[in-house]
Amino acid sequence: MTVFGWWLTIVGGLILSGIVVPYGILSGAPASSGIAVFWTLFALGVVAVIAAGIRGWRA
Amino acid sequence: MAPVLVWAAVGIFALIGCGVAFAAARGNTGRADDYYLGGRVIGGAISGLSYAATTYSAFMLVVLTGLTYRGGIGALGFELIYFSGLTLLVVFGPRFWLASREWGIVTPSEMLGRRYGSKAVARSAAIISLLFLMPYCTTQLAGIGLLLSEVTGGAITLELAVATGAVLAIFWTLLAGLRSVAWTDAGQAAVMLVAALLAVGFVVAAIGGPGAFVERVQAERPEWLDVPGPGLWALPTFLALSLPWFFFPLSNPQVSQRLFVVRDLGAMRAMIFWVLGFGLIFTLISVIWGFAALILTPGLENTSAATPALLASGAVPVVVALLLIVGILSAAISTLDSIALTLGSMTARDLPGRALGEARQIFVGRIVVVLVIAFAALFAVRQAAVVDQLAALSAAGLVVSVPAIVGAFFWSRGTAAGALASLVGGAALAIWMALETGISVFDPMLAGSVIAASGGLFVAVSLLTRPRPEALDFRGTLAPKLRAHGVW
Repeated sequence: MTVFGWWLTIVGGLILSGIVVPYGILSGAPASSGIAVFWTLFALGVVAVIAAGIRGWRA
Repeated sequence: MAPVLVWAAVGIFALIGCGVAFAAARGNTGRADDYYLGGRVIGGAISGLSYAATTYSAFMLVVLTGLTYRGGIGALGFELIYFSGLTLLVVFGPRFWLASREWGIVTPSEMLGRRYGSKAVARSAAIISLLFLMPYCTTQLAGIGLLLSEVTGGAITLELAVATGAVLAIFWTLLAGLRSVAWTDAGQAAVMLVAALLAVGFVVAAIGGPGAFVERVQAERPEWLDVPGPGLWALPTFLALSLPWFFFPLSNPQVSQRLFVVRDLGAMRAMIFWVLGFGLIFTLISVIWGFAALILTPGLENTSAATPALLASGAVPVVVALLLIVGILSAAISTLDSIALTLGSMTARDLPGRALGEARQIFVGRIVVVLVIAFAALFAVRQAAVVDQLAALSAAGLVVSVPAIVGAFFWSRGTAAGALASLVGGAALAIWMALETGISVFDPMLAGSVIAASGGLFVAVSLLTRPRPEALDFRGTLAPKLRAHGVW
């Protein structure tokens, strides 16, 4: 697989996790901030994959 | 809050904004691409802040805060799925930029028309943008009206507040087009962020600090920290709202047109970092603000009034409250004037049967800016109570352009007939489902059906027809340039 292919796969998995983890795994935990913490980490993950994606751009 | 204080804050904001707009106007040359794209030489920080201010509208501190108040943490997830749509810029940002440079393209609808070799495709994309961005404009002015009338206890009427926002947006757009819009946007983005940071700091402090804030939410509103929470964020609703918003960077021309304005890919990279930083911080602030409203002002029936209620709670000093009011006004105006300018450019370049001269393109665009904002103001006064529904419907409608955009760069077999069927068929379905059958934007059937129909029509009709001889080969022409710029 190409680097772009790997990147797309990681992005797809990350975005899917943004739905599946809170609704499928973390949902129902008693009085926890787990979902809020997860979604914040998810956002940082989005920043990281975008930074990786544009790192090689030349002006 | 005393109306005189609010008017004084709005007056200072208007004066500074006019000064910035006049200064920006000095760079204009009178060419259409200068008026609509700032001469394609905008730097990373200004384009990034302008992109952020255009994307992050009054929706954030009025509607998203209300959605948090009503449904809890699911609002954060919804907004962050939208945020994750910025990954599309990695793939499409350089392609939009290179195509606009290569063929002198000014509008996203023009880009589709040139790619598929069809004026009808450009015209349809422009008309669909006009049709679905109207509700979005309306929500901006409705947000201003709701905020100013609520914080002054009705002393500033909805009509007067809406008229104030509309006049400022019209003036700043007419003055120097993209230059004045981008520079005022950048200033407004800074105001939005500083005001929101200060305000959320004061309300969290009023609750007892970050630790006490988290403890009180956990103790008093545990259900709000879960999904589906108290009821709003059931998975189908979450998907219904998140899915069309994910494609926002492609489907909304007022932001995708920003990809044409940067001077080089280094500036685009900086632009993306500015948007990421601003977006993440502003999203977290808006959701924290909603939870703070839940703690300090419980029991509101109209959740869109959470922000005015919090400002009136006494937790925020008057000066900071005024700054936040200006910040929300900024968020609304920066989105409104960007949309109006983009719709003006589309009308001037993509709707006429034959190309207009440079001066006439600017003149027509200016007329459209006034008409769009005037129409939105009228609609805002009459429909202010349905802010949430209108904003979400625009996202579900505009998503019909996504298959044709993806195909433009990645599927050489895509045809004008396929693009046209996708745009018109998808838009007709969205309108029919929402207005005729009454399917809510909170029902995933709406967005799911529109995306499936639009994508299916694009592929099926393209396979049944042939590309036009005048269609441009984006994929082949841009491939060596993409490699030269180090883009995948």
